[in-house]
Amino acid sequence: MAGSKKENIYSLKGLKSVYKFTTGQMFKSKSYLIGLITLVLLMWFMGPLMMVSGNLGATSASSALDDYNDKDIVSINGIIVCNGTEIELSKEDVSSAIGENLANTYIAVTQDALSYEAELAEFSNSVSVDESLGENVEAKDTLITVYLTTDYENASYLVDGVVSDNSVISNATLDKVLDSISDTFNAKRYEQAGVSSLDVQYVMSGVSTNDSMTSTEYNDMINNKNSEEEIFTISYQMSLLMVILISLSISYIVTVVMEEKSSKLAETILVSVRPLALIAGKILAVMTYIFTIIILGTVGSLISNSVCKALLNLEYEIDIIDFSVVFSKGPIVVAVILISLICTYLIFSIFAGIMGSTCNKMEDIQSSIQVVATVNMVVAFVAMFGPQFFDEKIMLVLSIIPPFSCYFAPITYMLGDLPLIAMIISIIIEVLVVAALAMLCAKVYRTLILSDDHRYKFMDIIKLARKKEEVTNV
Amino acid sequence: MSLIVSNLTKKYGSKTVVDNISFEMNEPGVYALLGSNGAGKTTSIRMILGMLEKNGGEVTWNGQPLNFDTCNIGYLAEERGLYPKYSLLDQIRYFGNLRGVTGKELDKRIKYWAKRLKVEEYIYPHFEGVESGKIGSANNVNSGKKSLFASRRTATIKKVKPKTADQLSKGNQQKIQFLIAMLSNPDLIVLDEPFSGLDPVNTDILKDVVREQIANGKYIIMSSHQMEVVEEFCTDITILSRAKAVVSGNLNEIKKSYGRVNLYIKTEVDITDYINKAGVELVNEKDKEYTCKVTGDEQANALLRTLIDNNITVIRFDLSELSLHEIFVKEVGA
Repeated sequence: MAGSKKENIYSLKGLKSVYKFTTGQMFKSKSYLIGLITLVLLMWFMGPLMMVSGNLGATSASSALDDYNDKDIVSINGIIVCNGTEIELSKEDVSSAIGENLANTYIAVTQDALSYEAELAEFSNSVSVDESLGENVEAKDTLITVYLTTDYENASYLVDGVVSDNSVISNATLDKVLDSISDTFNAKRYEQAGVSSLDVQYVMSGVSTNDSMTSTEYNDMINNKNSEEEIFTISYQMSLLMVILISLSISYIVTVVMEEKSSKLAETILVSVRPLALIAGKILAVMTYIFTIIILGTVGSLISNSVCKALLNLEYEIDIIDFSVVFSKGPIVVAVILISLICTYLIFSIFAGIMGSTCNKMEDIQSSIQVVATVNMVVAFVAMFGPQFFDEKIMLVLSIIPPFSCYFAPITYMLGDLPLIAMIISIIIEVLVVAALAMLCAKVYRTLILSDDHRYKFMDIIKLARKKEEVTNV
Repeated sequence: MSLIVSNLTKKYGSKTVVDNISFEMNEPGVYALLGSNGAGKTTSIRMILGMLEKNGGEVTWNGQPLNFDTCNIGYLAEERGLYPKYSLLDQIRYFGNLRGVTGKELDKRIKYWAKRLKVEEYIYPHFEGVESGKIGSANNVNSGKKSLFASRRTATIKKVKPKTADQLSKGNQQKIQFLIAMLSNPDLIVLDEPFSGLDPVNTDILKDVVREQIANGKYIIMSSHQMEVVEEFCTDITILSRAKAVVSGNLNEIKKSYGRVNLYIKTEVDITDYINKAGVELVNEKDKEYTCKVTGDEQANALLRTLIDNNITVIRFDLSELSLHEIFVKEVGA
């Protein structure tokens, strides 16, 4: 008589073959390769593109002087500044403000009405209007008069630009000229007052106050090297990395699981390999694929952002997307983060694998992905903004309890708010969760993958797992 | 070696879908599991192979519980399935690896079975083409060698890539799956509807393979609706009807138990009156060929004596047992 032992459903025999085959097919498939290359390139160039476009926007705002087109140049023949303030402004100041493109423009600075009339007459006699502007255009129609006055009521200065009723100068061009002259006027103001731009910035930024606190809290605040911006950068970068990791893994896992079900291959395969080995091989294969993207993407992003900053000499640098925070804290942190990422991936991917095996047709895939994706997005959202709003106790709790710990633990660890021992405890808990999910998977995967007429809900799966194991072949 | 299935039972809730099925295979051969649709054949097979949990009973191979660790099993599932977009060769190698066959031995077996089942052209790349205007000796186009003179001819030789599963017909997919089942040189081969969807040529190919495996001492469990094929190979059968085994045992003995009741007579004259007088049931008559049902040897012999006594020339007189088809219809249809 045969022994009546329970089946060893946790056997991993055949895992290597499943892993090798699935990995091989993913890297041979054109669609998977295109996806890999696209995502990696996106991660490489996202940061530099954001930096370059950000700098272009800043440059265009401050370099309006050089942005005059040919029509602007032809339509402006003269600029007369009537300076009614005590700030000294010379003709050379105005010339350098408007730039070289308008170097041939008639420029004058006057202090009173008489000198203004004289300059106006001089301008009208000396300038010739370009024929392209039209026959009825007079010299005054190509003149900008800038009035600098003091508003004593509001203790400020006014810069007004005036053109003739029939002026050929566009509003946009007029604005460009006025912006340039305003900037120069402000600079002269500070210079005469004996203050620098930085002094003005400090004066204008105001004062921020903290709530009252104990001496311990005060010392912690002093020693805390993370500014609000740094906290947001770290939590944003890490959450983004995790969202990419988990979102990709969910869809790929469900796809590879459904592949066998929809191809009616499950029976043939399950004669040769146990269900846990089958799903584990697939999960590891998808992990290889996704981590290839993540590693190539983050390392490449780091390099491309550094090169961009070094070579292009950009005025504005954007750190939000270059993933440098991952590498800036040292090798131990990198190793801890990597282990945490792997645990996070395993938790969500086993969950996705179980949900994928409940699908009976391709239309079921979307709802299966939705369940896991929703959990992922909620946790990611809380992790992205939580560090700025939650206090330390809440952060500590969320760093220990999965699935929140998947996101919170690495973030709070990098912020220095989670000691290494707590991080290790968090990882151990996640490993136990992985083991529990693996055990659940081993019990239910075969039944789910062979079932094609019943859509198992989550409670059905739990009931299936809790059913007493019958005597089967060992 | 021996396979013993005893008291196999499966229930879904209160419904019993397989009810105490038992049989044994103590020597190589083919055992047939027959039954109408939904009788429990595939469920029984899945339980035997350990894919489905049993509610009762056990299955042993050489005294040990049957599983793919204790027995080298080859399985052709009823549902035809291959990865639609992956290379066939990759898939076949994958399944071979899962069954512990690797490296050169695996490639050797794949080549052997591909040739045997005539599916080489689907698995391996090859050259196809038409050469025209050639003078001289024939060139072997499909050997894979390009002719040295191809550029000087109006030739359209092209390399044909191996196909993917979704490009194959159902019959060819079946043959690939059969190839996969045979890769590990299994001791126990389970074939669920192996001949369904195959044309006569491919049916003959598979039949040859089955005969060869029997001669090689393999144990084969076959489930099929094609009774003539089952009769050709099977020594023992179980017929399932509504979850229960209604007939089980050696096929010849089962047939004998129903007696020899089919009578075929061919004469030169009309013998309808003699048949009716003898009390024999006339089933069909066509151009002096008579198909009848008798109660047994005695009635048949009595009719023969009557014909001889009346100087009727009997060209053919064939008394035979019920066919498996008739037994099946009798038991399952009842």
